[in-house]
Amino acid sequence: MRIHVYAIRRSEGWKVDISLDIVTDLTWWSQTGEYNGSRVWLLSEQMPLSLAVGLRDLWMLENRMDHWSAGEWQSGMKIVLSKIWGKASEQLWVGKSPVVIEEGGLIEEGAKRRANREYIPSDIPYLLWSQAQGYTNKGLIMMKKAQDIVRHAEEQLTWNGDEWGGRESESRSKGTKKYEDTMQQEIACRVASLLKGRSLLLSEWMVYMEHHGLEKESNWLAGIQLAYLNGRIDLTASIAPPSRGGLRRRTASSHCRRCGSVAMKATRCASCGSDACTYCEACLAMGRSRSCALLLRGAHRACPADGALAAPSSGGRQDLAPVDADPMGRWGLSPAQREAASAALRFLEEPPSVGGGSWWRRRKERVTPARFLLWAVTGAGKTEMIFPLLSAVLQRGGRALVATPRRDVVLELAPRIAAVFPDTPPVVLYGGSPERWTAGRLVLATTHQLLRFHQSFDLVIIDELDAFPYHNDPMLAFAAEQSCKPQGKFIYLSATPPVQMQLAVRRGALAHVKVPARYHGHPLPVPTRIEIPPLQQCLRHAKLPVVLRKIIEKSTERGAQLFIFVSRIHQIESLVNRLRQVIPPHIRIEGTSSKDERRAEKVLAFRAGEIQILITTTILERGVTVPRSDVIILDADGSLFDEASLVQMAGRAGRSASDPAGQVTFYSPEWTNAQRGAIRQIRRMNRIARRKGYLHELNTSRARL
Amino acid sequence: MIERILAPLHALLAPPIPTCLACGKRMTKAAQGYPEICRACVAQIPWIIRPRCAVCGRSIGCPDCTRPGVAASRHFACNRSAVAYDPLMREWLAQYKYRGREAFTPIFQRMMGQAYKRMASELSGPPHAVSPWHIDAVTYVPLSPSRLRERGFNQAELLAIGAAAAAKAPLIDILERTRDTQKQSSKTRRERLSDMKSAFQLQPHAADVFQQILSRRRTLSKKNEIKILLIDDVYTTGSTLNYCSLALLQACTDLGISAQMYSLTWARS
Repeated sequence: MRIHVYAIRRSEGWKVDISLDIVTDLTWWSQTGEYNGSRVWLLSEQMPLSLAVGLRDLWMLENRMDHWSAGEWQSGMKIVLSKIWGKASEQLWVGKSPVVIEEGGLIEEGAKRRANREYIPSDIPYLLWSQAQGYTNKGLIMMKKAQDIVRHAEEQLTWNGDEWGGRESESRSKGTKKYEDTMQQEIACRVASLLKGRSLLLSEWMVYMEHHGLEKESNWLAGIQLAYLNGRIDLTASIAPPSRGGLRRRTASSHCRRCGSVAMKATRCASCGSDACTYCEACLAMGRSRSCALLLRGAHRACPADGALAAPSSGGRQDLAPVDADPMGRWGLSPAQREAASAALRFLEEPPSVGGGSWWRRRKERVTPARFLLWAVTGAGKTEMIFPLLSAVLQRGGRALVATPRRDVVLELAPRIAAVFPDTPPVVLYGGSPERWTAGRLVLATTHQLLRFHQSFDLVIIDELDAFPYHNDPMLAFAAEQSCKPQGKFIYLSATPPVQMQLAVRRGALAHVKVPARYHGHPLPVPTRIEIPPLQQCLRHAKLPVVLRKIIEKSTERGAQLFIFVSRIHQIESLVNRLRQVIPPHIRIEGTSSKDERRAEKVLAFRAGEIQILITTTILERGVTVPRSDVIILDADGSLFDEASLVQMAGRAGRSASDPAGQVTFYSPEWTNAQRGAIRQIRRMNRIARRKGYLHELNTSRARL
Repeated sequence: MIERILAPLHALLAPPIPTCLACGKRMTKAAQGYPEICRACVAQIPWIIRPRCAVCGRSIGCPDCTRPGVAASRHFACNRSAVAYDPLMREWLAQYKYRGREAFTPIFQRMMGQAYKRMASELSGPPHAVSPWHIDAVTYVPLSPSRLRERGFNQAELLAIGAAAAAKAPLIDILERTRDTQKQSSKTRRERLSDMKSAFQLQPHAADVFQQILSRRRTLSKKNEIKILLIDDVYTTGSTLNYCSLALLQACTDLGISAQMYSLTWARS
């Protein structure tokens, strides 16, 4: 889009600003008495947004500009823009390169015309107002437009008839200006409250606005502008220009302000007329973020009242007492869960600290959310442990978010959380969710949805942070960080934290608590490794090793269901066929993978116990839990099976109290570090659990909520 | 800190493996002519090599074109399309047009170029014909100004660049939309047909453009006849193309130029 850009001289100096509705700006500045000794230059009526924002943010204006002429303003602008964008600024300024078709001649007529028609004639700055002469002619034309808009608004009100009748006559007596302003203030207030904690593209805003009953017909552009002038929202371009640090060379590329990714793709754009309007490919699925797209955000103002969690009142201090205090009582947690939850709760109560870590980070004085890792083994009952945390935040009027990379986890968690917090039902967000624009204090979302939030939550809990697609996706990590208030808290949940995080834990750089035992108090099944030839070879010779067959028979005899993980999708079918030949026919064997259209159906049948043996890949390494189960991993030395996924797959066994000792077997021709590491990790957790006395206690009756 | 120093080094030593633009999977070998997408995806493109319907270029039998009276109200000579509009192509176009994934542009342009060449060789008849079929100018179905601003690009215009480059013919921008019609995809056949009439007209500079085209023609034989190729993304009923053709033909008649309209679309549904 294109936007108005003006420069205003106030008592403290010059300032450049952007405007969606220049009339609102003129009225605002005249009413707030900031016109003193001043001039207002309109720099452009329709500058591409990216350039306008660049001027606003990066132009150092000086007092000598008091005497600048139109030409000086224009060349000044161009100098600044070329400093920001280098040579590309010419292209951004206006489409300069019409498409030339090879046949040495006729160029595209349209491009030439477009260039002439649209941008150049309007980019000559002009004086709108000066203290000496008041409004200039052009300024008057501008104000005339303003009055037209006022009149237009008035007509609309009259037309609306009865309900406005009383106020209308009142307004007539006072003059229209006042009337307009209160209307606008009202809209501005609504705009600001709707945008609080949000980060939306203009196109998203339009939908959001209508969802919340702000009609398209209302003068919402002026409302946005007024909210912006009031400092309650931020307006910016969705793609940031390449930044230049002091001594560092300028970074080569632009980045997306919404998702943090590097934005490389620049195309000709009909919305802003520039030849190189950059857009972000990374977050395209959430609407197109581009250089000339307006990004609206609630302004974050350091406001202690709604910033950090309000400190508990005098009596509240006792609530924080660790294990046996009341807040833990109602959740029915096992001792291991209880201790971890209270550690996390203590972390929540800590006052926000100014940038932890080394001196140079502190020097930046940037407040970043504090982080905490809840490292809970598979089957520890993570969900129950977050209930007291959510409850603590909600009770103080804070906002809490539970995010996970996986949509099926969101859908599974939603009813459980809704049952626990009947007063604040969670808003459930995922791609295509019906509650997409609903506001709420408790939000349950896939990590992609966090792109639409900005410094919104006091507590952000990221579940399964090592799962696809969150793991190794800097965009989602950025989105998660953005969604948390600077003084807010971050809690990660994982059974298998990524390596960097484990290192940070070991260094002591990351606060954490381990939950080494399952909720039923039995140790994790330790995998055994059996050496067999590679699966491919077994299938080719149509010969399954006897050990493998025996262990399958042992499982089915004791009535357990069996997960068989393989590393390649194409092996599933032949393995299913092979097993069907050797396993008695009353035992149902199925295979499924990411390419299987009937996957959901088969998983349901497996959960219901109709399928006894399910052959699959890492896609089912987490999430699916059946009470009585064994796990077989074939080709456990495969490169797709890293330590984390081996631990996760092993974690499918022995989940229920009635059958805590599931069998986990790694079959592989070779030992790998991943297999050793997984076994070591499981043993270590069991050791810690035993030492802390979490194992074999009589709390097996605790049901999961 | 260490990471910050090492990251560029890693990137240098192990450059990221490119991923397929269409399916997102890692590419080991790029397909010939389409380096952005993987071989599996290229193999799935439903090219229309041999159209079944000589009029509209459909790859399957076409009841519309044989209906009585249709030929009289058709203002273009024939249509050809690059691909059949199957679910995969629908997905690609949706990604491109509605999501705004302009990285698809070069792919689509190359597809249009290929389709143009196929069309030209088909219409020229036997190889080494005396007067091979070629086009004098390429134009495209315009968007309304408001939709163009909203979307940021006109997919038909970008596709037309590909066709014009292959044809070595000038790309001209002379049509405009007189009013906003609703999105085509959300309408029934009957609504589309009635909605389109008089939706298109020529821009004021059209006369100049036609004169220029005439003066630049290579063949001097039929002096006052020009062939214009009209580009759009999808041919569904052909009504959009038909009304654009009508507008162009009328304008040419008014100028005393005899014109013939052809159309080429990216997909045929």
